[in-house]
Amino acid sequence: MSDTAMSPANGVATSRINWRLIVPVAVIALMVLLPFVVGTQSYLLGIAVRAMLFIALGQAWNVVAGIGGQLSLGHGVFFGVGAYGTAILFNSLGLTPWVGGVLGAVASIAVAGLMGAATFRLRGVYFALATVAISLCLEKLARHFIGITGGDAGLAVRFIGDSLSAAQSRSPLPFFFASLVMVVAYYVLTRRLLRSNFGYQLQAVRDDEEAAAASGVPVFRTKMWGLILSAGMTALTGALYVQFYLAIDPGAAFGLGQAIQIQLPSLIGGLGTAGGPVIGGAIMILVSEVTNWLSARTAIHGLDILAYGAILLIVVMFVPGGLLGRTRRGA
Amino acid sequence: MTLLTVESLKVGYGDLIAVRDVSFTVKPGEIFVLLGANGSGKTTTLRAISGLIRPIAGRIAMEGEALGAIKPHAVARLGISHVPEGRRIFPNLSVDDNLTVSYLPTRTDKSLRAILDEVYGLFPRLRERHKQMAGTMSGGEQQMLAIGRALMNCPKLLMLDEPSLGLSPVMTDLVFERLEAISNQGLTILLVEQNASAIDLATSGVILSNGVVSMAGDRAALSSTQYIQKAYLGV
Repeated sequence: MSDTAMSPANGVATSRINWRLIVPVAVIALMVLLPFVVGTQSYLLGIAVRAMLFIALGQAWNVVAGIGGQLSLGHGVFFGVGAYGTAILFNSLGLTPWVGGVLGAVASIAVAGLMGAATFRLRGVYFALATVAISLCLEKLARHFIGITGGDAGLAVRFIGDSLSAAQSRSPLPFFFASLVMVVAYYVLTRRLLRSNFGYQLQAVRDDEEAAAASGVPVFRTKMWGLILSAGMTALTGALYVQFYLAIDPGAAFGLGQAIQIQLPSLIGGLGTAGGPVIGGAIMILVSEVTNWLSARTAIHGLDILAYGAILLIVVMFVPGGLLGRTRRGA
Repeated sequence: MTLLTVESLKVGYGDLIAVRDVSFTVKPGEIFVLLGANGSGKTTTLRAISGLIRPIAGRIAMEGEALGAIKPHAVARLGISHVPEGRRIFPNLSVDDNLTVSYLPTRTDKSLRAILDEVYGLFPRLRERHKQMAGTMSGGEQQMLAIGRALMNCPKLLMLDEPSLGLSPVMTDLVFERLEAISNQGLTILLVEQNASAIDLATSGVILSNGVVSMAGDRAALSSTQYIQKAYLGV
């Protein structure tokens, strides 16, 4: 613990600051050029949309779980409410998804508020358990109320052709740019959050709730706003998801498999970091494309889940905080 | 004139009563010590003042105003800062960020920068390490950071729970010397210690044993009761 440790540490810090600007800007530039390289109707664009939707969900989860340390095991709730809300409002009332998505986010935030109010005064696993319980409830409800949700078969969004007001398109190109804007916006928001007062408070609550309270941080309120922000972001991604796929079903929305997949990008890429969910999500979609191709060749299904599990194990064993992790305890 | 009044405080965890009957008053500008052996109720008393645990009975008042069932963050906002036992800095935040979290603009006209400079003036070692992740620092540095963090909200009362715990004698001396410097700037300090050398620092204090006050007085009185120190502090 001598001063000799200082100079190399500073050296790393300075070079990192540069990379932290150059890398994201370069990645964004390459992404913008992608459609012109691979063609605007390319299958690859669809994969990119899928990856970015996945990344956006990871970014949203990261806000409350990675930065705030509140482990949500049921983020599918917010995703599903956003997706179903948007689809139902459009199908039954003809409401444009531009408004429906926002209303879905509002509904999602209301659910988040109830969950937080019920569990955030308690410490430990209660919040995590509540998120699982509400996921299971909503999945059952979605299967039961066939008239509204389409039941087990799910809900197909009424397709009216290319339309800006209905946010529908035969080409993946608009969705490519929409999801790119979303991922970039969430990335910038996460970076700003990490350097903001509210972000410090969230991280203080994550590291030591009691010490945070003794330092003047309103613990309950901080967790609550963290969850609300995360729920809103998740629901907006759900709205974009349902516009792209034009379908949603109970398992994809509220299933625990979905909820677990939402956690993987941050866990692999780096909990509580801005770049972590982006890298983690990108790796996962690349891997899943390879395993899907293999599955098709070998008729062995579920290779993607196997690969995710293996990657997660390797990360947890060798880089516990994730690839970009800065958390010492990995939690 | 008193800053903090604790009257007939009784605090417990479930059936276990840790503090039976504790009363004392802290006057502005003094260094008041709460001495006692392990399990005598020192930490519990501090936690009750901070609002981290709700008392069963008794009254705690700051500048004559009863605190009641107030939340811990609200206690901090009244100007009572708590340096918890075992430091409990935020390990994944940098030194700068640990300090920034505690800055409460509602409590002061000073800018964040100005208070950071004051804290770094008191603890130059922290300034050297301001970008370092706090969890990677030594125990002594973490203790300095915990004290610095408690100073960020410009408190009227600084409460410290065994700041010498786990520190080398040299580091303990340094921490105590810094506390004197902080006190000389006019800040009132409530110091919980098992280490009887804290008496040398104190203007007055009490000795707790088994959740009651067994001895109260000024520094001369506390240090003259050698036999009490032997009995309750084991030194």
